[in-house]
Amino acid sequence: MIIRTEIEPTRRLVHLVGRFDAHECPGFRSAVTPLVTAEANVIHIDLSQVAFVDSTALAELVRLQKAARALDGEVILADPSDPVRVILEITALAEMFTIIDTTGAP
Amino acid sequence: MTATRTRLDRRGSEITEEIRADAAIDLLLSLAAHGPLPDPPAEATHAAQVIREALDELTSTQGALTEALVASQDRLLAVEALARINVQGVASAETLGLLLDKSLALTGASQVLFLEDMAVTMTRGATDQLDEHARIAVSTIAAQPDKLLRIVESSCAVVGTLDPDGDAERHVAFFRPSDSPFSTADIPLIQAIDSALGVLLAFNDLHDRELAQAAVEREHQLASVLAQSAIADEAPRSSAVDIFARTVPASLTGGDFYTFGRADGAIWFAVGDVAGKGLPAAMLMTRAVAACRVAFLANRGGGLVEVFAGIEDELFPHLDDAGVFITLTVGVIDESTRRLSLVNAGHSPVLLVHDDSAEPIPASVPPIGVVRHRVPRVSSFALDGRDYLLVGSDGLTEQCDRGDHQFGYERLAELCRESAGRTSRHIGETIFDHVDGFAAGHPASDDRTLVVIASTKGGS
Repeated sequence: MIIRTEIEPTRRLVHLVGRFDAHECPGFRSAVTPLVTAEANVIHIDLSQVAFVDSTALAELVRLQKAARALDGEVILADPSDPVRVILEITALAEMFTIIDTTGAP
Repeated sequence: MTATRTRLDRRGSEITEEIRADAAIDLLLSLAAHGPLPDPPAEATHAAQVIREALDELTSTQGALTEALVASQDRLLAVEALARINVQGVASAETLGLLLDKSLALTGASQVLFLEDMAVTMTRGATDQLDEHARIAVSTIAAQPDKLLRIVESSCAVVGTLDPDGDAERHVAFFRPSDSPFSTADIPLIQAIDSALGVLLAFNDLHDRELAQAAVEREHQLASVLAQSAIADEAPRSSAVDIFARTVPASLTGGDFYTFGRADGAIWFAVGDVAGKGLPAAMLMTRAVAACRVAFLANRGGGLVEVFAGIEDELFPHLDDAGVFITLTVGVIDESTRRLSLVNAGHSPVLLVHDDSAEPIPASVPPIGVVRHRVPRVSSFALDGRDYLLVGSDGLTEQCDRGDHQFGYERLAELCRESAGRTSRHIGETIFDHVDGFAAGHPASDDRTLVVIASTKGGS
């Protein structure tokens, strides 16, 4: 999985590309967790190019959400791909995140 | 080859001449050409003496060469013996002692000291002057820390560094009496011995590390077996329902589980999946199994929501601390009515096969460990005729083939529809077989778990 980050004054953007599974979680954690701070407590995760997400990776997103909420922030999931959207709905985890569509698609 | 002769000159003075052996032979040959002489001249006698002396010298040189050759062979054999100890006797202090014994004999040293972290831990040879020699060795190493070989004390002491790339600081020091110091000819042998000792110690370190690693792996395997044993082998038998249950961890153990309980004419069941892999997930899995069993017993006669809350109360703090969650389906079957009720916390696949359709029973709350005190929705239905409930784990649906395509929910639902009316075992085996066939040797990336609860009415 490719992890690309963009740092703005009060917000962080993370673009993920590829399979997001248990093998990718250590890399994700080390790259993304430090981005959530008291000053920049909102983090956008672009999931539009994630082909697959497993339960370990979902747990990683939940863990990040808890960390952001502890700082009065949140994790916003942007444009989840169909496989990601399906798994979020099946596991009832969609309600735990703000999910946004930045493409303007109907 | 030369010899000397002394003769008197005309005035009676002694003259010492040096005659080469080949010149003496030429002289004798020239005299012999004149035929037999009644009285051999003095030159002939002297020439013969020169040749005798030359022969003596040759014999003496040959003896010295033979002696040197024997000594060399002895050293070669000793070095071979050294190497043999090295190969055969890895990882023992006794082996190191044998090597030091050989080193003592090979170098002709009076004492050998072996030092670890600047302290003498083994000695061979003479026992006198031990403290003095230890002090010399330590001060020599301290003065020349980066050298591999240090020659001090008027060449009566040689201190070598062993395995300079190793983690431990080890040295060997050879001592000889002051009247027989080491020579430059001894240095290659000492270097060879140092090298052999260093290799042995490096092997020892490697061996020790492998032993430690093997011990950790054995403990890991044992812990995995123990964790996996938390899952009961057999599903409960009932006249009302026919139950199949199987879990296959992707490695030695995993986070998938199922468990059953029985009370007051009802069969309780839970099927779950701890997010994560291997032993860490398995440790939480065993806790989850225990929490489910306790909740089944503690809430005997109680409702599903209370049982679910009991499980959540027990597990949430641990899951929250660990930053993981458990997807879980908990249900109960009334054996008298075949009525089945369940709650689903983020688990999939959960399918009710009824009238030859396979309908997913969606999660009504997120997995346990994500958010607390959500009240799950209870789904209830009667298992009649060819009906059955299938609760699997995502390791089945997410199994990939060699082209990285997933087995998927559609394929599973289709299999479920085709299997309606069969025994739970037939259904379970069929699904596992199809997933295995689909994988076609592609390794399982996640645990696979399947529980099938079928009505005994109408099964075949």
